[in-house]
This record gives sequence, C-alpha cells and structure tokens, in this order.
Amino acid sequence: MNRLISLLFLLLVCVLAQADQLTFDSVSEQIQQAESLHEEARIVDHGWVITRKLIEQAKAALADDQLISADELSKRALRTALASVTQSIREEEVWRARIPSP
Amino acid sequence: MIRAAACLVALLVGVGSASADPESDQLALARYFEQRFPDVEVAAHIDGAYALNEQTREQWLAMEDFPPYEFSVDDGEVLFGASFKDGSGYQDCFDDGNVKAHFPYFDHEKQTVVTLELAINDCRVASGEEPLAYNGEDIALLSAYMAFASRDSVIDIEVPPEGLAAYEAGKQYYYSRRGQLNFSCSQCHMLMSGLKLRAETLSATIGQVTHWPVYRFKWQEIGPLHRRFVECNEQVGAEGLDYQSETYRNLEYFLTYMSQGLPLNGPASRK
Repeated sequence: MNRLISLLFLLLVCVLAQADQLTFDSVSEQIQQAESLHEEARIVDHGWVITRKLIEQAKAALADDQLISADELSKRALRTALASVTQSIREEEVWRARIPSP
Repeated sequence: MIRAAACLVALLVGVGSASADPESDQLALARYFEQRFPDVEVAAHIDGAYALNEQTREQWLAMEDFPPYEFSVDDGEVLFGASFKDGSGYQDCFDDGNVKAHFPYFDHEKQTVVTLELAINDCRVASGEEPLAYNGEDIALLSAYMAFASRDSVIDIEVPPEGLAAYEAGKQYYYSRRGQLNFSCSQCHMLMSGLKLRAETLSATIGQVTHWPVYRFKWQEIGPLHRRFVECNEQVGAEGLDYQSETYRNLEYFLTYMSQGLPLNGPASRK
C-alpha cells in the first residue's frame, strides 16, 4: 500500500513538474520514469504491450523535436506503466481467490 | 471497505489453498470441469475446444484425415535419427523418443523445471553440439516426432517437495490477471471455457498440454506450447516472455500436472 502511495505521489510530482515548462530534458526524464516503472512491472512478468509502444513512440517524437507530442505520449506511458505495477501488486494478494476449492 | 472485504476473502481462500497440494489441486480442477460440463468426460478435454463444440469437432475430425503436421513428424524423425559429431544421438538421451509422458520434471541438481525442449538442448550440448533456437523449426520438428512417438502414453509427472515452489509459481501465473485487458489465463479457460471469444470456443484448462506441439493454420506451421503462451499474453495486452523462460516452464509444469493421468495426443492441428 505504501509502495502504491509512493508511486501515485511520484506520478503527481511528475505531472505538476511538467505543467509549467516543457523542455527536452523534462520530457526525457518523464520517459525515463515510465521506462523505470515499466521495467518494475516486467521484472514480475506484468509488463504491458501498450507501455512499451508508448515509450517507443515518445522517444521517436522526442528525437523529432515534437515536444508536445512526446510529452503527451510519455504521460500516457507513465499512466499505463503505473497501472501495470498496481496490477502486479494487487495480484500478489488476490490470485489465490480464483483457485477452485479442494 | 470493499478492499478490506476482498483482502479478507483472499486471506480466507489463501488459508484454504495453502494446505492444497498438486494432487488436490488437480482433483478440484477436474471436479470443476465435471460440474461445468457434465456431458463431457474429463479425458475428452484432450481435444481442447473440439471437445466442447460438436460442429467444429466434426470439421476438425475431417481435417485430421490428412493431418497437416504429418510432414513435420516425418522431418522430425529424420532429425531424431541423425548422429551428432561425436557419434552419439538423440536415441542415447531419449531411447525411441517415447518419453514425453514424464516431461516436464523438476531437476534436483539444477533446481529448475526441465521441459522436453530444454532436455533436447541439454542432450545436444552434452554431445558438443550447439543448442537449437527455441523459436526455431528444428526443435519444433523434433518435439513433434517425440510427441507422436509418445502418443497414448499417460501423463505421469511428479512434483517433489523441492519442486513445489516452481509448481506454485506456475499456478500463481495461471491465476493472476495481467495485461491491459486485466485477464488471467483462468478467466478464459475456466470461467469462460466453452463460451465463444469472437468465433472461437475457449478450451478448458484440463487437457491443454496434451497435444503439443500444434500445427496452427494461423501460423501455417507447427509450433511449441510456449509460442501459444506468448500469443495468449499478447492477446490480453501483456508482454510475452521468452520461450523456455523460467516463468513459462513453471507454467507448463503446473498445467501438465493439471492434466496428470490423461493420454498424450500430440501433435495436433488447430485453427
């Protein structure tokens, strides 16, 4: 639960930090955060296809100097990455409820 | 409040299943499908979705008159009979190839689950040969021949105490939701088994491993079980894993135990 709150806080900080100024570095950092969260999900076999695609698209947009597009894509990547980590945390507890009773 | 209630339910169910062992898991699953499909014998599930839909079963049986995997079995037999550079061959590791009933197994020395594909490569490496690519054609052909040689043998694997963690990991993977669509394997192949997903009938968990490798018309070639795992994962928006990754081998271990006692009927053809 604490981990989840930390992740939500991280997401909030990221969104607020990006609100004022959009620079190559700020978007790049956002992409890195999405990558880091995605990796956290992947390690426990909960990576999502959409996150990887969004990260790749955000990187391509950034390389093309399309800052607004890269920002939008990386924010979506961050949201889906966070959702995948949340899923992995939740499933650690609830998967047993799906086993048929002996 | 809802979360607390869900946790309590999970905890209570968890306590119940903590004492469960592979044998009682398998019995509970068999009972589940007996109740879900009272007109279908448990052993009939080795035919997958074709055990649950009479119309598609007839089409499939007609297709099996000229099975598309026949050439793969023949090519696999040639590969199986070939000698390695040191003069040894697959027969030295697998006799006549009729060994699939005892795979996968938990290797005490390596402390890992060994599938047939892994054993094929171990056999090669022990004789100084390069391992085959797990997504390549040769390993699919070899396992097709060995599946054919093992036909009608009854699945007879063990889960020793040291193998329980691997079995449990496979079980957890099967029952965990994953991907953007938030689906678990069990939701499709237990709760929704027998129902349609677009035009396809969803097969039951039991019997899912008996007929691999499979010639899929979608693939236009024969392919291994782990290729289907990747496909299932990606269909729910989850990233597929490497063939023969530890996670997939554990999943295969769990699924194979769930089919314990059923006859092998691979290779097979599927849409």
